[in-house]
Amino acid sequence: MTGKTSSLAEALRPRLGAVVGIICGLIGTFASLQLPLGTSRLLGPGAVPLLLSLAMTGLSLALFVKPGPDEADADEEDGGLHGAAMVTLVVLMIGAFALLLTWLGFITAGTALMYGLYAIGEEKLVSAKALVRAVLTALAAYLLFVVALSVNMPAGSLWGY
Amino acid sequence: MEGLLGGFIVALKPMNLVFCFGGALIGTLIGVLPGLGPTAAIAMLLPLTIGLDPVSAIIMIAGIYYGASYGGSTTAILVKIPGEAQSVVTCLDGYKMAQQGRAGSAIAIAAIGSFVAGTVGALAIGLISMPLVEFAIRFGPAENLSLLLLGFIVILVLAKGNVVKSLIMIVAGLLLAMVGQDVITGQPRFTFGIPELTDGFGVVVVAMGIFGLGEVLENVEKFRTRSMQAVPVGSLMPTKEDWKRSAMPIARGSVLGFLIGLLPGGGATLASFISYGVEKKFTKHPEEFGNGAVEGVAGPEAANNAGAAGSFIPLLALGLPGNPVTALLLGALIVHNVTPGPLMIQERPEIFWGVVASMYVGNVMLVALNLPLIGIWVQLLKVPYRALYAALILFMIIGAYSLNNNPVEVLLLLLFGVLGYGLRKLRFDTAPLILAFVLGGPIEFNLRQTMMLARDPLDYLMGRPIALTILGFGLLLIVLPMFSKVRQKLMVARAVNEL
Repeated sequence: MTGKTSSLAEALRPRLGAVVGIICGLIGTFASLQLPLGTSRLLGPGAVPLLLSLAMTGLSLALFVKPGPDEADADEEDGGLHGAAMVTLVVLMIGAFALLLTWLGFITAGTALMYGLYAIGEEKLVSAKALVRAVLTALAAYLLFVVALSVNMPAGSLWGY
Repeated sequence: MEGLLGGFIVALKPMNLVFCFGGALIGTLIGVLPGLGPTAAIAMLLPLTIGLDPVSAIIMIAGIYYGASYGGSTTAILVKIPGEAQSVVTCLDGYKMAQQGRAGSAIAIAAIGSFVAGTVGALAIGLISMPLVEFAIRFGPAENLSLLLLGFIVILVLAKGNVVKSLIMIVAGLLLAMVGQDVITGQPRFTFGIPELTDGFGVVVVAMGIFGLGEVLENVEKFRTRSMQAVPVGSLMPTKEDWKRSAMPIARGSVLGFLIGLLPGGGATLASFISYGVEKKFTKHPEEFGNGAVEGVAGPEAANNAGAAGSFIPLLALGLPGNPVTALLLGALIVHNVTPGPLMIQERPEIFWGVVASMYVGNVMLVALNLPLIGIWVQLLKVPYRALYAALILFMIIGAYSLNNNPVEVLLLLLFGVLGYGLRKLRFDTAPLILAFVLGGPIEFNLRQTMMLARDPLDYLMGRPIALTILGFGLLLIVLPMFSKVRQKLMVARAVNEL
């Protein structure tokens, strides 16, 4: 079963890339057509993007029809569903950090992000070790970047700053 | 040589020495982490240089580059995980040497080979750059465009695996470069009404996302499957036999690597692979290759360093980056309001020669300071990746935020990180994308200028012999492999008929 699933994934992998390419190419074509194309001598802002979008659509179609050989040094190692879940969690946490940074401020948002990332690393939801590490990392980053290098990180509107 | 001496005066200023040392040290620190190579290291650390003056910033980036390359070799030798493609070859014999208790010797030979190659490279840049710049100063939009197109052709010819995928990556990079204001009319394009996109994507965020965060996410996925066991280093002093067997491979690797680095699309990776092949042909012990031959470490390590130095020439003299690292350097120069190209040597000689001299100074620092610090790097290898990656992510996030003091930059970093991760999973090579992204603006600008100047494009091209020669060379690069494939097929068909 696993073998069948992985061979199906291998077969779908190049075509998935091609489908994404076709969608991007079509969006690009539509957006380019909203811009002036100019003449052959005086190319408008939409001319080059239109050519590129059409090329993207055509090449992606070619890849869809004939996926061809993969990269020679493609990494065969795969983290499977577990790995994908870890990556998704990390992505969600960074996204949440970006959205809450101005509101919570760097120290609070940074500590929360670090705790989440260390907890993912340990594969535990609650971990005192992760909490200690998170507080220390966020404080060290604050001292290095905000205090020593004068990087202007937000203090947090929640705390009245 | 006067320029080079002036460059040393710039590079040896105490502040620049500090930045060069800092860059080499932090570069080594990042490069020594498995899975992270020079491109990722530069991408992650670029924001750190934003507040510096251009000369110091570029000197620091050069230090990061050499440091990360050195760190990557160390990891390749000790744990058989190359930081980047250029260290892949070092894994083959370096790790075998380490397993035989000769890790220290392999690391020392790699460092000394890199140092010799860096010295040769710095001198050769000094000799070659001026004549090249004097020639390139005559270039107009048509010649610039031809040169940029030639760069893409070489990248495609040398592309590993699927050419269609590489082409898609080039087109995707060019399309990403179109986001923002039009280079000539200033009209917004592909911004979809989002004000933050009016200025386009910054090279730092794109590079940091695709190369830095993308790689970290890929490593996160392998927490469970990746196990790391560093081999003990042992004595750093190579044996007499090692010295004897390494001398010629280092010399050959230095010359060969430099010449390969000059080619658009060349650089450190290609140089190391070709050098390995050459050494395998020259050696008296071919049976040892792949089993711990010191030549297999000395030649490629010298070649990749010389290749890196060589690839700086097209960047600094012509403004043409040949690989992702030089593309990032181009981006860094642009961020600091410096436009590389023939005029840079005349208008900003301190930057050009300062960078050349700092390459040499950076190499000296690596040998003098990093070899004694090898124990620290080995200790760092023992820290599990799952404990280090969080700090790397925080570092990148702060870097991205500090570009415009705007959390949108963090979201863009995340977007490009996910894109980089996705492209890796779909087995796309991301190097052509970043090259095309950096070159997208100049390509469009030169194309539109050429079209404006030419009433009849064909007639105009006929009057531009340099552009015509460059394009002809590009055409040859495309046609020759096809011709050789047809010939091979004909020979096979004839052999089948004879049977």
